[in-house]
Amino acid sequence: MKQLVILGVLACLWVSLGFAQSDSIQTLDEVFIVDRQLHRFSTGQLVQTISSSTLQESSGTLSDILQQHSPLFFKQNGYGMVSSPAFRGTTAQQTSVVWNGFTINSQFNGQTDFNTLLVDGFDEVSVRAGGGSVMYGTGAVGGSIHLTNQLQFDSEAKLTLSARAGSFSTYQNVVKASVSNQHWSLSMALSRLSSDNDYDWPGTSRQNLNGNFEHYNVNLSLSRQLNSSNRITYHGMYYNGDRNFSLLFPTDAPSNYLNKDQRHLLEWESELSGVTSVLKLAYFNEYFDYTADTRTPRPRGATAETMLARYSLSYAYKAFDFTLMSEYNYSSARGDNVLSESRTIASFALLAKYHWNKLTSEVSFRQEYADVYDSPFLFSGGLNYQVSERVVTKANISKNFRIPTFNDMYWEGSGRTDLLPETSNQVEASLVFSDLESKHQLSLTGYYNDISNLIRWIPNSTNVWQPENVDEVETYGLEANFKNWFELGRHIFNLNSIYAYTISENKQTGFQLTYVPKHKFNNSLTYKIGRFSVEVQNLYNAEVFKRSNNSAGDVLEEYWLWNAGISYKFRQLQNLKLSFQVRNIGNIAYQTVENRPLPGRHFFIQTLINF
Amino acid sequence: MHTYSKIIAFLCLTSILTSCINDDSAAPLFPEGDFYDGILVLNEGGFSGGASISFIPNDLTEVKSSIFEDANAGEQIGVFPQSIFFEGDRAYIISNQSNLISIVNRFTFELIDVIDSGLNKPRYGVVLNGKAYVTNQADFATVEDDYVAVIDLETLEVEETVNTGLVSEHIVEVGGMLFVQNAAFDEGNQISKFDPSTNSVTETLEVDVKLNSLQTYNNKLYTLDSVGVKVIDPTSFTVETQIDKPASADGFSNLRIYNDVMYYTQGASVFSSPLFATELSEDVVFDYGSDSAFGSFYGFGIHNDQIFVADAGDFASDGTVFIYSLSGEEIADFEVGLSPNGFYFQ
Repeated sequence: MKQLVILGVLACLWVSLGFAQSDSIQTLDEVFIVDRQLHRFSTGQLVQTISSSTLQESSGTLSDILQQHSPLFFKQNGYGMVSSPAFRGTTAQQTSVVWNGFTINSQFNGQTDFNTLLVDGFDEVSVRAGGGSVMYGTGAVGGSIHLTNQLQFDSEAKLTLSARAGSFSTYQNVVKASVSNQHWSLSMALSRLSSDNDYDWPGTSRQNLNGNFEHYNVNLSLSRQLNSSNRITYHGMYYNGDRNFSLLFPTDAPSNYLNKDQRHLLEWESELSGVTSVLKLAYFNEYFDYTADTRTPRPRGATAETMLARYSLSYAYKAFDFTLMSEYNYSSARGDNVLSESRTIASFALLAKYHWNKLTSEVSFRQEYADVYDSPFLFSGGLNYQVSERVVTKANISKNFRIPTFNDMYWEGSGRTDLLPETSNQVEASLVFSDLESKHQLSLTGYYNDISNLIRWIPNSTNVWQPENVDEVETYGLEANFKNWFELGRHIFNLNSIYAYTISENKQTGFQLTYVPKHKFNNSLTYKIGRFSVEVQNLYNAEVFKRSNNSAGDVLEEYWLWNAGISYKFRQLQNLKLSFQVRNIGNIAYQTVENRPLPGRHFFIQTLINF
Repeated sequence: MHTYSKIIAFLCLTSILTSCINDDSAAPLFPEGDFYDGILVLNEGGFSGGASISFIPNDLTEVKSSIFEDANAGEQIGVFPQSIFFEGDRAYIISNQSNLISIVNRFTFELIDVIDSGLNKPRYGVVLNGKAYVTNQADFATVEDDYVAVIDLETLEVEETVNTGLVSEHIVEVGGMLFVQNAAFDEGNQISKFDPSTNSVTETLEVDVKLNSLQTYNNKLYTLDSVGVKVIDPTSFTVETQIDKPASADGFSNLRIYNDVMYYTQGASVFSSPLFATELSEDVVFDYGSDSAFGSFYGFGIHNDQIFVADAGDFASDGTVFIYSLSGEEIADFEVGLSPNGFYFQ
């Protein structure tokens, strides 16, 4: 432990010395984000960005948006309930959620519940399929989702108000405001989402019971331009969720889950003679309280705290781009079922990129030192090659990992400190075709991912569930994304299609993992004329196996979902946008988790106004 | 006497009585229904349901899956069914997570009624004088709230709940008294005596740690814990005989007694000792070589000179039932439902 602290301090000193020797000034971008490395170091991989306007028009949670705009498949325990993604056939713990450059997956279960993140507080959501552990550390195995806040120094003030109401008493309100001058920039967002969530289960006489929820989210970003080469930025978010878990059976005990998360990030960025020095300090706190039976409440909860210091130096020299990163991470947890424990991780990473004519290459490495388990040496290598003006090829190879969580290691009576991290070796290659104006683009990606030491909880000889490094998994597949933008006079069409073919096999048995559809296909078509727009979406998920032996009788059936929406902007009313949405138009009965029916046809109406 | 023979006797008796009243109806010698001559396997399913009941006829020719769902379209037995108890031609299926007892005709599996209030994480039940006594663990985080629910089988109402203050798991009846195993999941070391005439716990008896089995045989109670088997006299409620395991042996589980022989398990092996042994034998009857790290002997039973083993595999796919002779030869195996946890013999 002590050695780790010393290592961390040394690392910081060393990079600081390097930085002190340089001296010049660089100009600043007008819009800036703190997750700089995402676009800079993704050579060989595709990063797909979902814009702020799409976020505003979608209905709130991260599941809803990514379901339609990415190849991810979500397992949801009903609408608004626990939602876990499968990214390229991996697990929810192998999907990293990165908030302004830092992974925010829970210290307890290693995953982010995609139904507890309200995305309308963010300015941009990006999806990067494939490994990213070199940059983002644990969890970035299947891919990463990046939630980003932007700040501007453009002396403008903006205000957005949005209100949405819909079926089963669902209400959502968002206020976003930003103001800036040349030295200060402030941006904040408040959002609330609640629902009675008592929808009828399609095709049955039953109703969703005990599923109501209420979420609040506050985002605040503040930045001060000290001088032309120094800037201090703060990003903060606070989340409060109060959710009941819907019942599988009417006589099940009604349970409740409260969680409060807060995240703070302070960053000091300096630029001198081509060297960018960034010091980040972060504090995360996650807290939950679970009540198994709300009629006789005995809440049991836990808190985890994470303190992080990250120092990075980026330097561009001729055709080279270097970034050196060192990080020190101290996390601790305490609670009713988790032993009070802490862990310390120091890590070092070097990222290097080289541009040479039409070729961009990247090599990066990361080594972590933890006080509990041994971490593998991680690396990533990528190539982008511009074959012609219309064709780009990409390739990437990487080694990634996921460390055991606090639950895995310290759950009372079950946790094990002898667990190994899950590791993954993966390769991928892409072909991207586009026209010169980027109105039409087709990308094709093939990948292969070999995952070892997958941690799974199984009952031991006395029926106590315990984690084990049991599984070896191999995933491979194909992703295709086809984007089109047409303009015929005043008519504008936008068509986006995504297809994913996913094989995710347990290497010992050769069976497809449960809840991984082999085919997922979604399309969205938007038509705009003047102030009027129509959107139609569909989504296909092939059948999924419920049992690990792929028994043919135990599947969740394939389904096609259709959604549609229309909207109109009223010129007389400050460009107030009124929209109306229908989801699951066909009123089909479908599930993504066994015995967890999702809603039939339902409706939303939304008003959005920008000042 | 086997339950089945009891029922036949009962039915013969009723048929004689009814035939006196109504000579037109030919009384059936065997009960109606497809499931009267075989083995029921309870499959507890997983966190999102998937529970079922399988039936294997005594001639071991086939397995029928999901017999409850087949007999009752659109109905389910709830999440994590833990056990079944019987009375006459009725079977009471206890769903632990759904706080529900589904009452079915044990031979047709047609749903008759449900008990859906007054239960809180019910585990096991037994019937005595028209009443069912069902153990409830309530909040798993504490034993303070564990109780026995006394259910009137006429009205199907829980007429009284008796707090035990101790983990409440298996419940058995001997000589008009009830006995509750106050141990579950390897914790607890007591047996409580429950007097149904006053609905109260009158006495508790301490055995050794890791108490895992409570059986009745020849009007005695047999327990298995980390030290070995204890034979308890139900009247004096004292340990009469103690049959320890060899000090070198790891702990045994799943005590069953059949034809004066005790059977018990460890890992994937079955062992046996004569009822009057002085030490538990370490001689293996058979080892079924389970691939399952932890799902071996998830269910275990002996009937008709056959040993029944339920293996839950990886708990994420259908489990397997293996049937062995008493001398350890494999006779048959069947794929059943998700996480099979117990056998009931018709």
